[in-house]
Amino acid sequence: MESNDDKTLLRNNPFFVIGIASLIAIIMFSISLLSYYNSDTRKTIEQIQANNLSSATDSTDDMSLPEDLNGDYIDELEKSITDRVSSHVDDVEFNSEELTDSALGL
Amino acid sequence: MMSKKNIVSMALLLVSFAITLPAAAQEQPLPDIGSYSQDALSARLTALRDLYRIKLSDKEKASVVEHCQSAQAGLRKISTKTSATKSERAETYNAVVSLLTGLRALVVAKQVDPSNIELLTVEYQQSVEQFNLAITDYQIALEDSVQVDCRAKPEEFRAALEGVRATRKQVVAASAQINEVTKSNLKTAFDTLKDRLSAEEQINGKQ
Repeated sequence: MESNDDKTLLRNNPFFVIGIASLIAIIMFSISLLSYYNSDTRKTIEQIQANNLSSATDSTDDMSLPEDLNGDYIDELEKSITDRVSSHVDDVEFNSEELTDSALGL
Repeated sequence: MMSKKNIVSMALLLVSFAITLPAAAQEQPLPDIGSYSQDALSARLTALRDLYRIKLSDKEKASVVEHCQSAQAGLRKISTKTSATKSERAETYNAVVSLLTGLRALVVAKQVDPSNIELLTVEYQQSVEQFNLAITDYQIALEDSVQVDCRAKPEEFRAALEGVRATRKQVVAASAQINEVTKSNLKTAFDTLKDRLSAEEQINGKQ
């Protein structure tokens, strides 16, 4: 009889119930964290973040904004953009000769 | 009445459920990425083979079977180079858009109409978007040509190669569009901006 009372007390003990629930929550959280850490999703997100950071840092390195806008700055900017874009040569980067049968040994 | 033993058993059951749930979720019959890719690859190659009406003679098939693996090694190198090119170009085009965005802020601060710079920025963004789509298609086509079992499927390999050549042309066309915006639209927009700045300075000088 005394034993049954103890059990009832334990079952109705909010600390015990909360403790069990917290334990389950911690275990589930740990498993989720572990799954995420080992997943490809994390690697992909980190790679994207690294690329974004790199782009933001490199993007305007050699071209600072002037305090006052004038024609000289606009000319300088035009040259900078033109040089950047023309630095990529399609014939080199996407050379059609590389894809011919002879180039591929077919 | 629930005994202490029952409560502990229930807790253990819940814990084991919590442990097995993520694993069970992973084991659900979700589409397998590998087989999905293979299905998509087969579908693309079949479509290309039909599009280019690839029909090889036995002699041609034998030639492809003999040399295709070295060709795939070459295509793999092109694929790697294309990935690097894509990153470099993305860096350049992002920088251009950043510079134009910064210029717009300066123009607004100067209380000059920024509409031509805004239009130019949108033109750049659209052209760059087209380029990104085209180069992604090119990368997929290259990957298809590398992944296909060329010795077992020589016609599909030929079709994949035609796909690579066709998508390369789209990349070059998209790149040419960006060059055209730079060569023509950029100059026009900047000349207009300089005129507006001069007019603004003249008005301020008179006042």
